[in-house]
Amino acid sequence: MLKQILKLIAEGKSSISEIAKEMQIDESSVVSAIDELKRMGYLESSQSACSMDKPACSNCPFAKRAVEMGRVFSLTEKGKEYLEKD
Amino acid sequence: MAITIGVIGNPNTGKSTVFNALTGRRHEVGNWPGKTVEKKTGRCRHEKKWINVVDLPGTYSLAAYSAEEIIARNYIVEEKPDVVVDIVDASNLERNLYLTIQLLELGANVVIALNMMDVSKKRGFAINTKKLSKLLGVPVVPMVASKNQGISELKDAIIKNAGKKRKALFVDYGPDLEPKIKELSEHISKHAKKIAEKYGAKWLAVKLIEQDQNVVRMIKRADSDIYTEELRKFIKNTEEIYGENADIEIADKRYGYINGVIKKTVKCAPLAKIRRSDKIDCIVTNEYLGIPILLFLMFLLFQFVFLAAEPFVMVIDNIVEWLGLNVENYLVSMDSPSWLTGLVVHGAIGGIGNVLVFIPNIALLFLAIAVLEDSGYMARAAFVMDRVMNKIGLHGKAFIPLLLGFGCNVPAIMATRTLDNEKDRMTTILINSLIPCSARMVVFVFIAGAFFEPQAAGLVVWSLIILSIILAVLVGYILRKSVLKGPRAPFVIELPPYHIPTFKGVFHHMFDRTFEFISKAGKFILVVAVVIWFLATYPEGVEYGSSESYIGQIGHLIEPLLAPLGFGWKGSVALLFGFLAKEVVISSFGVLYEVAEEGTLQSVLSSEWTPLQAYVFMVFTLIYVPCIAAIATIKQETHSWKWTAFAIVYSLVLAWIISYFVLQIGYLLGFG
Repeated sequence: MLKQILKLIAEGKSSISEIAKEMQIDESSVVSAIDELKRMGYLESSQSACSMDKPACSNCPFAKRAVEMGRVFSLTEKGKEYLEKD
Repeated sequence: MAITIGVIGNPNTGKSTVFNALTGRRHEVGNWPGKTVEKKTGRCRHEKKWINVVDLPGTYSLAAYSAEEIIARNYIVEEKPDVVVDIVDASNLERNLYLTIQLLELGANVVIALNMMDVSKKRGFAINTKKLSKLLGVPVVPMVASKNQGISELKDAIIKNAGKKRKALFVDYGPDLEPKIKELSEHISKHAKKIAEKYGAKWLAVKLIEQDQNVVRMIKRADSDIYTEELRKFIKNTEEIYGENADIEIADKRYGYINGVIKKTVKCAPLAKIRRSDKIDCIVTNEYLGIPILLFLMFLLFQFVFLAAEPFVMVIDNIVEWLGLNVENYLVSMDSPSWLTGLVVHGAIGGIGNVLVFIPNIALLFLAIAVLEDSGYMARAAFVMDRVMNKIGLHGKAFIPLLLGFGCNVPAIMATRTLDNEKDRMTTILINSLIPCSARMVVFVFIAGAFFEPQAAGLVVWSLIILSIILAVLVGYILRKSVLKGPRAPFVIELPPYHIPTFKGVFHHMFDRTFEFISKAGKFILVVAVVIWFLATYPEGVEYGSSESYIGQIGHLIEPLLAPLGFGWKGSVALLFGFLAKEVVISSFGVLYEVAEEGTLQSVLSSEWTPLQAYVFMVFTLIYVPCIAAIATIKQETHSWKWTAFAIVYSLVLAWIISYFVLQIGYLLGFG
């Protein structure tokens, strides 16, 4: 399952629902597997970074609060190397 | 004698609720030895027996990736509690069973507390708990801890199963790995009896293949003879098969095992019971429908911004006009010097007043954006857009910088730091300038409101947003195919759940952002307005805002460059000052056209410009570099004058070409 998820991401499936649909499993299972892949170092995540603490954000009315925008996972070098080998 | 139990589970599974329900909130709080991780202990009495309850840290697995995982693992192995109560979220079974399987592989005496059964049922899952118990070989207690359901049954199960010896669960790791694991287990059993008895030889073998550094250290520490050449040879052999990726092979097999268990024990609901948010996502993030839906919602947003604000705009407009006339009359009647009257009426009221006239539009724009953000749609909108961007080869991590660009381009450019690849980063920085920040949106709202009827103004701003998206995709595509060539970088996005926005939350954000804008208008924009007024008034004796004034001279200097676009020298000056901050464009118009004295900006500007020229002006504002702060950030982030200069020049050239193109098409269509 983890390997298949990595392959689907590499193939361009960019949403949890797309992967869940492709694998015919629940979305929460995909999230679980993605978190495991992140812990194992195959994926990395980044999040929205607005903050009033940053000088550059002090003039921006949008930085007053953190807007929940979801997590973005991308392949790490380890993930890419693994897929190349496989 | 008291029974000791360890309560373990994934974060957010209701572990604390179960712990509190078991101990009745009578607990002590401390830290795990040598760690900053909180340790909670408590006790309860059931059927004349004392149960000591130890709350273990929330963890997803028993690997050695975090302090929580190591604490939980060590406690179960070292302290050997009579029962390990594994809190499993029934609505998220596959995810939670990953930890359960590892506990069972360790041979722990597990009792599964299958919590959140109500949520699971609501999501359409029917779990056969008896079958689950049979397959895993441990008791399963269905419960809803938040409603105190199943707590007594859990206590019964704890007492009934306390101290039972369980055989470690056998997970088949496949024909490639199993012989290796077997060989390694035999080696460990032979050379390290003590450790093998404690942890189980197979478990240790699997962990060594997974390259669990904690286990490697433990084996080395326990007996240096065990970690012999022979052992190293085993591990090296495994590495030759899987490289350094045996961990993913092992985890994959565990998930395979879990999948098998789930297929036999869980019945999923038919499609009709799929979560509402999934149904909505199916439509709004659809590959083909996503973009048209996004465009339609943006169209509605701008229609709302202009139509709903119209009556308020008219009221404020009248107030500003009344204020300008009366303040001027008052200052004249007081025999104030003409420069003071000019400064107050043209500089302050003319500059700031015209910004304030459009506050209702701006407030409603912020209101609509807050609704989209709070509902969770904004993240979907960005996702739909990012999918397009990824098709042209942009990295998935560009999602966040592009998204931030709609607020302010400065933090958006800074956020490109998360991109490791230099080409990805440069492309994202260069495209970011094309994402209309909130300041540019304000300029569009202002000019569209001045030149077009409210019914048409929304459509005008909407068309600009579409233009910015088309340009961002085109520029990104061209850059990735030419100077910044590189492979496509895959990514996956986990979208946040949908929420119904609260009245309080949405209005709070609207007021917050609007006041932030007014405060900025009151400081920075006011100062620039006064500077422009000064440049329009002096040198002494020239007619205000004439060609002979300082600003007139500057305007005439740059006018030839923009003459084919028909902006005139005043429009050119407004764009020049727009380099400082985009909002300044509005106050520049107010000052240069003496709006406070002459009437509404619409009446003044419309005598000089046609709506087509106003539209072309907005197109230019959309494309050319956001502001001086953004330019400074590009320099700071790229460490290159060459790329900074490129960012400025390319955006100016692109702005000129597209504006000219739009103007000519407008003439051809008879809008001139």
